[in-house]
Amino acid sequence: MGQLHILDKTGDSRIIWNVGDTEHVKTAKATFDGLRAKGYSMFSIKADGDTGGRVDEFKPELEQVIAVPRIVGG
Amino acid sequence: MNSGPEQVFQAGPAQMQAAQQNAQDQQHAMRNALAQQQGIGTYCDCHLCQMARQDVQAAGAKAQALLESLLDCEQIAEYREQKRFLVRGNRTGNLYRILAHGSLSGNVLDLNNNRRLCAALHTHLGTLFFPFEDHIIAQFLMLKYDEGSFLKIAH
Repeated sequence: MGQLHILDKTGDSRIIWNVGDTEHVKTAKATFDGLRAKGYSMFSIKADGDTGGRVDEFKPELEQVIAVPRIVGG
Repeated sequence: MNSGPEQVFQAGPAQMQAAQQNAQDQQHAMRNALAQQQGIGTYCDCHLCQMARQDVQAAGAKAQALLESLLDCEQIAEYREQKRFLVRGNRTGNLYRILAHGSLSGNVLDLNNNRRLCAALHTHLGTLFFPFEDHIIAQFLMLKYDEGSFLKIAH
């Protein structure tokens, strides 16, 4: 089970996918790619919460992904 | 007695007044919500302000829960006690302190170089309405996993 958190005005919106469900994975990938195209940075977080990194490509086996809108210098 | 037309005539202005009041209330609530997000205003007790305040509070609580799910025990403890925490950059290994309260202007302290850094979510994307904690999540993730990009962007 993977989870995509998209930061927004509600705190975050969540897309959940089951690795074995093709439709779930397709929806999650489309959302992921759409956000990337809009300039979002995607960060993968492992279930242990301690390891992760930036990811540019969706993979169904990702556990938790945080989608962060573009940041700018103040 | 036929009072039908009279009732219709009386209902017209009342409905218009109600619609105008509703529009004013909505503008009022939006203005107050914006002011609250910017830290320069407060909500009044009208029902629209109360609803807007509840939405903002719920969003803040949700964002805070997500933030804490990303932090380790030490960071959570410091965040809860002092509304700040340390994070190490993945590229330089430098230590940063994120101040998770007050203003986002210069709220990232570069402890190795004794300077303040400023970078937050892009307001042109409507992020003015994002909970404060979402900005903190963005700063934290960028520093921890993509410090190079953060330093290129931050002023």
